[in-house]
Amino acid sequence: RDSLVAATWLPPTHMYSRYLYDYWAERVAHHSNGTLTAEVELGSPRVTALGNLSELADGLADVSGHFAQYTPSDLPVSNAVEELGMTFSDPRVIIAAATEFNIFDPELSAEWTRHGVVFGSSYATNHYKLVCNEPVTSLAEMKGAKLRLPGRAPAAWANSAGGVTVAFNTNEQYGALEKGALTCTTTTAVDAKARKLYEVAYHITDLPITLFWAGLGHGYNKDSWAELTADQRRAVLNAEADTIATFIVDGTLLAEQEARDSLAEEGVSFHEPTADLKESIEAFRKAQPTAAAEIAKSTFGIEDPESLLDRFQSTVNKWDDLLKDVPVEDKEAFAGLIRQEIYDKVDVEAYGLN
Amino acid sequence: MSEPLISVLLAFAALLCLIAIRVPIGLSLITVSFVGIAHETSLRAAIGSISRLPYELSTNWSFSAVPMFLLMGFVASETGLTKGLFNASRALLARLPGALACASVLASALFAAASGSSVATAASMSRIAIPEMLSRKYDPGLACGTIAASGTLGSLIPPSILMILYGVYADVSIGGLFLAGVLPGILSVVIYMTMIIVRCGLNPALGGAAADDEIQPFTRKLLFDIAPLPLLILIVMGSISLGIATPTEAGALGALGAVAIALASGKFRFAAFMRALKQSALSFTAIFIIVIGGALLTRYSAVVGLNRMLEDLFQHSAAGPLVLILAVSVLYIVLGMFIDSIGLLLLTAPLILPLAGSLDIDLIWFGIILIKLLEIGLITPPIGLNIFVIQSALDGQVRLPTIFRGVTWFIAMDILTLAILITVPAITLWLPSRFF
Amino acid sequence: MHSVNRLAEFLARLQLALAALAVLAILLTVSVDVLLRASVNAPIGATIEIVSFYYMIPLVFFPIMTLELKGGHIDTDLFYRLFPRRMKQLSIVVSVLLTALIYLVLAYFTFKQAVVSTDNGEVSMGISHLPIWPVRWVLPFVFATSAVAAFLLCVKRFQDRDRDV
Ligand code: NA
Ligand code: NA
Repeated sequence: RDSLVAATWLPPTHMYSRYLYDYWAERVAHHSNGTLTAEVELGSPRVTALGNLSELADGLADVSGHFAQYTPSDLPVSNAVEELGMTFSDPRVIIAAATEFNIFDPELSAEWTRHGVVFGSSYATNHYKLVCNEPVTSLAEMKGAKLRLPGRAPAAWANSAGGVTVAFNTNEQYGALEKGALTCTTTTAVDAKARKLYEVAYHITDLPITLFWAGLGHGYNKDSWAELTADQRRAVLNAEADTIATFIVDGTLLAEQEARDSLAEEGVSFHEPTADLKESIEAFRKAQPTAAAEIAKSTFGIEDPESLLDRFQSTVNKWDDLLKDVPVEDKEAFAGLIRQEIYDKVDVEAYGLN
Repeated sequence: MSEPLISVLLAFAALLCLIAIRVPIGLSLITVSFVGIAHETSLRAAIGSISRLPYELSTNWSFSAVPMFLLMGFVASETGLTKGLFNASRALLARLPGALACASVLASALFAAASGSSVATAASMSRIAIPEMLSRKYDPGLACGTIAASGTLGSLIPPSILMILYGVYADVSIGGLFLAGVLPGILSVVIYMTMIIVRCGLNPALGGAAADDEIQPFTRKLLFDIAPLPLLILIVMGSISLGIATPTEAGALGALGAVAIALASGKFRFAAFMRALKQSALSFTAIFIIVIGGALLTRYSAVVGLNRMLEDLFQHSAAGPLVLILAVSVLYIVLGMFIDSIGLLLLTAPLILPLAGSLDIDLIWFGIILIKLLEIGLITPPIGLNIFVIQSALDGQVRLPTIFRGVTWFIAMDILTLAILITVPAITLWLPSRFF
Repeated sequence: MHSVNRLAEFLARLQLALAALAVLAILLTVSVDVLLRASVNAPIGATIEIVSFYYMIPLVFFPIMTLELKGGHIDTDLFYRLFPRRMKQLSIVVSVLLTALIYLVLAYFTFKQAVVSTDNGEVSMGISHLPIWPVRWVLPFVFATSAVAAFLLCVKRFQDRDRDV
C-alpha cells in the first residue's frame, strides 16, 4: 500500500483541516521518505459529523477523526472521561495525556478495538469562553442571561449560576446573538473570529469554562492499518507526534493569542470575571470528579468509574510535570516528549493488528 | 478515458435507465449510489452508507423548517387564499394584454411568499388559473407555461425550502438568503409580465382575443380576501428580522399564523387541517427521499474521485469567478434537464461550494444564482417537475409537448434574468446588506 | 389477498397519522419555545434534540408506506408512456423488485442498528442526553411494511389492468 485517503467533513478553512490533514500529510511523506502518501480530502462527503466513527470503520476513509460527544452511546468510556473537562486548563497537557491514555489504557483502547478502529492521535480544543453581546462577568449579570453551552456539565453549572440554556445550532448562533435571542455562546477566540461573531458579540469573559478532547484526532481503518508495512506505521506515528505538537502550539495556543489580538482590534473587550462568578465555577469544579463518577456510572454504564477517572487524572498529572519547564513555543521539545513517552513505546509489529 | 470517468458515465446512464422505467427518483439515486459505493470501496461501506445516512440526515434540525413551510402553504391553499389572490390580481391587471396570464404571474408571486416550494406553488395555482385561461381561449402553451414558470417563484421568493437546504450546506445565513431572493423574485415577475404583454399585444390571439369582456372592479371584498397574505409575510420575515425567531423557527410561526388566520376568518375546518398536516408529511417525505438519494450520490461522487477531477479541472485552467459561474450554469441547465432541483442542489453543492469559496465569490449571491438555475431545471424537458405537476392537475387535457413549447419563452426570460443577476450583484445583495 | 390489502391500508393510514401528528408536534413545540423565550425568558432548553429525534424521524419515515401503496413517489412517466405494453409490464416488475429489495436491505440493517442502540440504551448528544433508542425502531418497521406495500401495489396494477399496464 503506498497511499492513504485522509478525509474530514470539516471545511478547508478549519484549523483541523490545516494541521491534522494538510500538515500531517507533509509529515507522512517526510518520515516515510515518500514510500507513503496521504491523499487529503477536506469537506469530504465520505464522512459525516455523526457517522464518522462507523464510516472510518467501514473503510470510506483510511484516516479520519471523530468527536466522541456526537455519539455518547457508542463511546461510553471516552465520554465518561470527558466529564472531567471542566477541571482541566492546559490543552498541551490534555492532548498528550489523552493520546497516551487512549493508546495504553486497557479499558479505553478496548473501546476503539471494539469499533474496528486503530487509535492514532487525540485532538484537544482550547478553553471555551463566554462570547456575549452584553457583558456577562458576574453572577448578577449571569442571572437570566440566555446561554448556548457546549455540553451537559457546563450547562449544569450555568443553570446553577442563574443562566438560562437556550437551543440554537452553530449556524443559528450568529443571528441569535445579533438579535438578542441569545446573550452568550461558548467558544474559543479562534472560532469566534472564524465565525465572525465579533460583528455581533463584543464581550468575551476571560473565564475558562471547559475544553474537549474525547474521540479521535486521527483514527485508522483497521484493514488499511494492517496493509501498511511496519516501517510505514512507524513513519505515520512519527508524523502524528509532529502533528500533535504543531497543531496544539501553532494551531491552538498561538492561534488563540493571535485571534485575541485581532478580536481586540475589531473592538471586542475581554472582561475579567468578578470574584463571585469565579467562585461559582470553582465550587462546581471541586464537585465535578464526584459528579463525573456518578454520571460515568449511571449514564455511561462504567463499572468502576473512580478507577477510570483516577487513571486519567494521574496521566494528566504526569504530563503536567513533564511540560512544566517546556516553553509553550518549543514545538520540537514537545514533539520529542510525545515520541519518547508515547509513540516510541508503541510496538508497530503488534499495535492495532489483532 | 480515465477509469473514474467511465464509472461516472456508467452510473449516470444507469440512473437515467432506472428513472425511465419509472423507479422513483429518490430510490433510483439510492440504488445507483449503493452499487457505485460498493464498486469503488466495499460492500460494507455501501451498506453502512445506506443504513446510516438516512437516519443521520433526518435528525438535522434545520430540515424541520421544511414541513412547516409546506404546512403554511397547504393551510393557506385549503383556506382559499390562492383563489382570492388570483381574483384580486385579475381585477387589478384586467386592462393589460394577456390579462389572465399576467394575473397568474402576480398571484403566483404573492402565493410564493406563503409557500416554500415551487412544486406546491405550481400545483395550487394550476388548479385555479389554467382552467380559467383555457375557458377564455388562451393559447394552451401560454397558459401552462405561465403557471409552470411562475411556480418557480416559489423557491426564489422567500420563504424557500431550497434556500434552507443551500444555507445548511454553504453554512450561510438563511435569513440573509431569504432577503436576497426578494428583488430577483420581483425582477423575474416584471420580466415574465413584460414578455406576456408584448407577445399578447403583438398577437392578440394568444391571449384569447376579446375574451376579457367583463372587467371586474377591484372591490373591498377582494382586498379582504388577500389581507391574510401581508400578515403571513410579516410573521415570517418580521420574526426573522426582529430576532424573535431564527429562519428555522419562523416556519413554525408562519404555519401557526396561517392556522390562526383561518380560525379568525371562520374558514378553519378540522378535516381540512388534518388533510393539510398529512399533505405536508407526504410531500416532505417525498422530497426527503430525494435528499437522501442526493446525499448518497454525493458520497459516491467523492469515493469515485469526481471532486478531485473537478478541482483539478478548475485549478489547472486558472479559472476566475465568471468562468466558474458560466460553467456551473451550463452544468445545471444540462443536468437540470434530468435531475430534480433538490437532488441536483444536494448533489452538486459539496463539489461547487468549495470552488466558489476559494474564488472569493459571495456565497449568498452565488446561492441565488444557483437557485434560479435550479428553477430553470423544473421547466426544461425531458424531466421537469413543474410540468408534470401541471399535467397531472389537468388530467392530461394539455399534451406534454404543448406545455414544453409554452415554457420555451419563459426559459429564455429566465436566462435574461440570470444574465442581469450575474452582471449586477447589487440586485441580490442590496437588501441583505441593509439588515445583516 | 383481500385481507392483506386491508391490513396494509390500515398500517399505512396509521403511520401517516403518526407522521401528521409529528408535524403538529413540531408546530407546537417550536412555537411554544419561541413564544416562551420571547415573553418570559424561559425557553425549552432541549427543543433541538426533541424535534430532531422524537419528531423528525417519525415524520421523515412514517409516510413512506403510503407513498408506496398509493404510488405517490416523485417519479416520471415521460419515457414510460412511450413503451409498448410488454415493456411497461417488465418495467413494473423490475421497478418493484428493486424497490422491495432496497427496502428489505434497509429493514435488515436498520433492525440490527436498533438492536444495538437498544442494548446500549442510546442517548442523544448535547446537553440533555435524551434516550433516543426507541426512535431507532421506526426505521425497520417502516422499511419492512413498505417492502410489502411495494409488492401489493404491483399486484394491484396487474389485477386492475389499468391503462398504464
Ligand atoms: Na416561497
Ligand atoms: Na428539467
